[in-house]
Amino acid sequence: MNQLIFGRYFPGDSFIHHLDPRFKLIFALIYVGLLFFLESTFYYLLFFVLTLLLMEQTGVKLAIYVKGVKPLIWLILFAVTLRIMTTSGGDVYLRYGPFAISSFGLTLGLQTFLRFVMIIFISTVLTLTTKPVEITDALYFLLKPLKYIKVPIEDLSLMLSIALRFIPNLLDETDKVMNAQKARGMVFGQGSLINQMKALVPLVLPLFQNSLKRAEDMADVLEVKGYQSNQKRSHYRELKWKKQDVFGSLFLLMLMVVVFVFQQ
Amino acid sequence: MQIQLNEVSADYSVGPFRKTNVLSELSLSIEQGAFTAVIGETGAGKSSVLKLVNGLLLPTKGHLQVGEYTLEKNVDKQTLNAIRKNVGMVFQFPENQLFAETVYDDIAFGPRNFGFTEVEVERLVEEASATVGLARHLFTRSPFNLSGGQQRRVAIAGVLATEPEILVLDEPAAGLDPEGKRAIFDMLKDLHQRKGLTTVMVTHDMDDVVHYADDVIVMAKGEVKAHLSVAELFNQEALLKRYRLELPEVLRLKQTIEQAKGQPLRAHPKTVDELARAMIEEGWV
Ligand SMILES: Nc1ncnc2c1ncn2[C@@H]1O[C@H](COP(=O)(O)OP(=O)(O)OP(=O)(O)O)[C@@H](O)[C@H]1O
Ligand SMILES: [Mg+2]
Repeated sequence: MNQLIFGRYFPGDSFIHHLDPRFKLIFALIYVGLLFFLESTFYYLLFFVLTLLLMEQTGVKLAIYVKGVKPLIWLILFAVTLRIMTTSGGDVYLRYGPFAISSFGLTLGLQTFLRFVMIIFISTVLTLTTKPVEITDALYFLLKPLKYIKVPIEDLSLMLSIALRFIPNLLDETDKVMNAQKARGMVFGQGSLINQMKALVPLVLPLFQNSLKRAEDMADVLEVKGYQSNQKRSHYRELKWKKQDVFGSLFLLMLMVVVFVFQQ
Repeated sequence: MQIQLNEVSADYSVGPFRKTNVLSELSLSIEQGAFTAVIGETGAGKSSVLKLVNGLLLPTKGHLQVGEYTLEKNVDKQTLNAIRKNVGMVFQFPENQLFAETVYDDIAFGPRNFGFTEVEVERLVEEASATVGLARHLFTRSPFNLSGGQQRRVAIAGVLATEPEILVLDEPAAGLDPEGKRAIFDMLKDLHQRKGLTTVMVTHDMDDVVHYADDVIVMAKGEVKAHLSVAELFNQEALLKRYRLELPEVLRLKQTIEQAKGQPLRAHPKTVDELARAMIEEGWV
């Protein structure tokens, strides 16, 4: 369980923690978007340094971010290798059939690698510093216009916030059930693939059972309290656009200018 | 089996934040055949100590001795398996671990994992079910459609079925009605006496401590603050106050009576009935 860093919130007091979640969400989206418009290695490195600075500001150790990359490292390396092999041009160092390792290929490979890592890093910055409920609130706010084309965004955001709300419970419970079955002599992660799959039954079934029970209770409570999703409602957590969010937006604008104007 | 902890420290590492020393340099010795209660405020580390004894939480420093086995940081799989076979652990709300299609299969899960033959498994399941008072006709039922109390019994039977020599329990009666609670504890006490099981039980309820335990471990902030007999504990009011422990009902009653009477009672009654009898013997009523 401890490996799962991506998508986890760590309480902290950095200025990034205090930014408006709507801003952070938009920032992360546009930032990732900008990464696809970078053209030279210089700009990749510039953005990489910037990403590192942002990570530094969250007050979470670098090792944590690296952990977030680990589960995806093979996928990244695969994409990078493909990129290197299939690009030609510049000095060619090695050739084998249709594949070649060239200086262009290596450059593109490096850029691809940096882009992947930055995407993971920046989304980790978002999820590490923003509570899941805040992200839901921000999403709800940003998707509001969709209401006019009859998308039930209240229902969607309720579903999302309930789902997010129960992730920590589910992780805790997984830990508990795993311990309980280990105590009864269960050994996880051993033997053939089939046996390992079978070993999951005593873990997954109780989790399912408990989640179903909880879902049922929850539905009952919503019913009893007269919850109706299509009502206009006020919010317990108010999102406030503050001065630092304005500065942040200016900064974002500057980045866009750098990418779309200077780079040309 | 005896349990001995020698300056054991342990913690949980969750991502970047290592909880520093959830347990720090614990030393502790629990005798073979004792019935020991572990008490302390919430977060004191009671459950963590139980996990330690079962090798579910490994020490970062120090080592512990469970019978002939030694548990330390780099313990090997065989030792761990042997320890888990000898230490039965009943978690808080153990009914949440039920998973099998039938009650029988669920109780048989542990013994099968520990490599008992099917013939032995059958005997063990029957014995364990009888111990917890689970009727045979329930064997073929799904554990999920039993009542809460029955589920709890199935879960406990599942642990007893591995024939442990040490039984550790984390608030085994939490969430049960008084009757169900008494039934579980009476069963544990009976088992303890019949089989000489070393029993360690975490509880919040001082009445349980007086009624069932021989000795008490008082924990606070990841340390063992005291390990003493039940009778001693309730004579140490300073200790009770310091760790915000409540007096059990019978002792509160006894104190009130003593105050009214202006003299102490010589006997150490454990139940209200015993208190009444002691007072009659003293000629107070
Ligand atoms: N799985 C876990 N991951 C991280 N920290 C944990 C975990 N389990 C317990 N802790 C921490 O360890 C400390 C001791 O917890 P423990 O569960 O042993 O206390 P306890 O005495 O059993 O409390 P309670 O009476 O509430 O059950 C607490 O500070 C708790 O936050
Ligand atoms: Mg506990």
